Amino acid sequence: MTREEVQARVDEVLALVLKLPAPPQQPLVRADVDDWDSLSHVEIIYAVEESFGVAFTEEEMASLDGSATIVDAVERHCAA
Amino acid sequence: MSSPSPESGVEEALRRLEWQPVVLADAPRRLDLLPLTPSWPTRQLRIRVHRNTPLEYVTSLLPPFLAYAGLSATFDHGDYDDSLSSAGTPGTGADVELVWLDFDRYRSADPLALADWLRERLRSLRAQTLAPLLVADWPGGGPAQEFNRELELIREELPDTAVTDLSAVAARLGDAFLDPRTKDLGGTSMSARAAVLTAQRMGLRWLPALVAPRVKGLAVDLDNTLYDGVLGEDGPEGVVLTPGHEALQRTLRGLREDGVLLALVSRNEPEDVDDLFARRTDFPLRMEDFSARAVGWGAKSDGVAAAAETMRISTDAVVLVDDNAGELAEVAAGVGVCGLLHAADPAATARALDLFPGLHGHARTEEDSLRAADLAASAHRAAAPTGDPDAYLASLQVHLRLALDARDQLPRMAALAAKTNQFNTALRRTGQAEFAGWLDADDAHVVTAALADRLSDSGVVAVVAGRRGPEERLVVEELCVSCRALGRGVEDVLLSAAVGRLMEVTEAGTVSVPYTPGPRNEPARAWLATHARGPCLTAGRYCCPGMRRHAARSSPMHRSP
Repeated sequence: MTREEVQARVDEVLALVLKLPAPPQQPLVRADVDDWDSLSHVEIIYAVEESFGVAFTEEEMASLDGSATIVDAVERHCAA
Repeated sequence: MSSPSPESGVEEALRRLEWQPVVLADAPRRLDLLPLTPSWPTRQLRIRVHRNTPLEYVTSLLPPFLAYAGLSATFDHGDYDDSLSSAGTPGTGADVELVWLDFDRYRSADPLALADWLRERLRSLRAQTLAPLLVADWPGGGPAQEFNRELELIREELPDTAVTDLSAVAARLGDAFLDPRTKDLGGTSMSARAAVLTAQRMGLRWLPALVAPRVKGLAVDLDNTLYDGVLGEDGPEGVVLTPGHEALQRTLRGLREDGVLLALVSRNEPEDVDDLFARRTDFPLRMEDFSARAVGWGAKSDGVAAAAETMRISTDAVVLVDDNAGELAEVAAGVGVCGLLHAADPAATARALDLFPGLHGHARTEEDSLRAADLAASAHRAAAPTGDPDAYLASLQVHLRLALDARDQLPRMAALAAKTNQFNTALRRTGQAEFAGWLDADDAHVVTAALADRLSDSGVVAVVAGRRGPEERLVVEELCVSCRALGRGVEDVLLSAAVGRLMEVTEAGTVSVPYTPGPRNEPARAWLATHARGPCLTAGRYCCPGMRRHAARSSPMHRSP
């Protein structure tokens, strides 16, 4: 799976959980999205884990601060 | 607002069928659930949440499950509060009060003391609202089990109170119920899988059991549904009872024992079906388990309608279970059933029945277990001689028992008010909590009537509640008779006795009965019109000048001269 494919699927997950009208066209940063609170954050992580069949560590969960870091983390797990 | 067209009704039914593999899945996927948006109308609920832990991980997944049950909900999530202080604040008109506590936060407390504390808080909440209470249990062993046993007693003590079986989700998932990674990050230890399964159970079982109508009957197909094969082609010995089909048949038997009526609706030769059940003694289901049989080559929708009539229930209280999508669509187009279940795979069908909204979680009453036997007896009653009404009643040895303010019958009172559609004057749908309030009030009383005859014991079949009003008038609030009691010519005698008993205890000289027109309560209107000496065509209260006080509590029944 290419990085672009991972990015596209992460964007779809973010749109679903955050109830966005469409997948974001630009990288999302958690601090810039009002609805991305601590509760949504856990739901996003659950959904990303389900989508890619990966399991993040507790430290990774806390460090995922936007779509780019989520894509990085997914790629890391898929490559491992 | 205009009624939906038949075409849109079929379309909605088929769309719900499309949701079945996702919503009733053994392990629903979050990413399959989140995009689902219903195209059918839903009943909006307001749910007030008293909690000490996040519930949002569950409620965010609830909409598709609730929509499948015909519901939607807005949640008023209160503050996190271990002391449950919100239980003492006035109700806000919510449809359900949900108490969602992480009891592990009280782990150092003695479980019995914890239960006593919760009992007191729930009593305070009960005093503030008539809405049903839904209380989370404590998943786990040791102190949790001891606490849950007490919680069950609390449920029995407090009217209109239900307890979740979150423990069942925890037992299924084992260690996977918890996810320690999210304890600090998200304030919960509930795992992703646990959140999805909890939402599934809450949306399909717990909440519908409190606010939605109960499914009264299951119409079940035969070929490739209850066994593998086609009876007309494979013969009675050739069809195969796979382990999955055996489990499905046992599930259906269990539902029957819970009071759900079963009907066999099959496009087959009737004698072939008789032969099948006579020969296949390995089938867990026996022919006599079916309260109605519609076997033949007519349209399946006609079969479902005929079976419902035999079971004395409306088709909109029936769910059809069938492997043939075309027949499901034909039934959706032909009659208004309350649900369709595509029996594509026996294990999935058994699981779907375990979750299907309206089939589970209702307070089970003694009458539920009597229902199928009572229905079978009705066929014999129909064959009794009917020329002379007194002789007819005497031949059946009909016996009436009245009970005044019987608190142990609260679940049955509420069930009658909720489920009775034909002989229900006010369609008020009084809940357990309000009935309990009447039992506690000085000026209000509730009379229930139980009926038995030589063929069966029907149990409690009628409830009449009322209060003493001005000018020595009995103001009836609730009056309904189960359809199980209809057709014996006893409803008038029975109601006259029940109303008369209420007049006796309230020392009333006259009585007024409320009436609300509904789609199916013509029998109640006709009865009221007879006693009100007028047509009773519009909603309102009607005086019944012919009603008299009645002191009897138990008697053989004969028609009044």
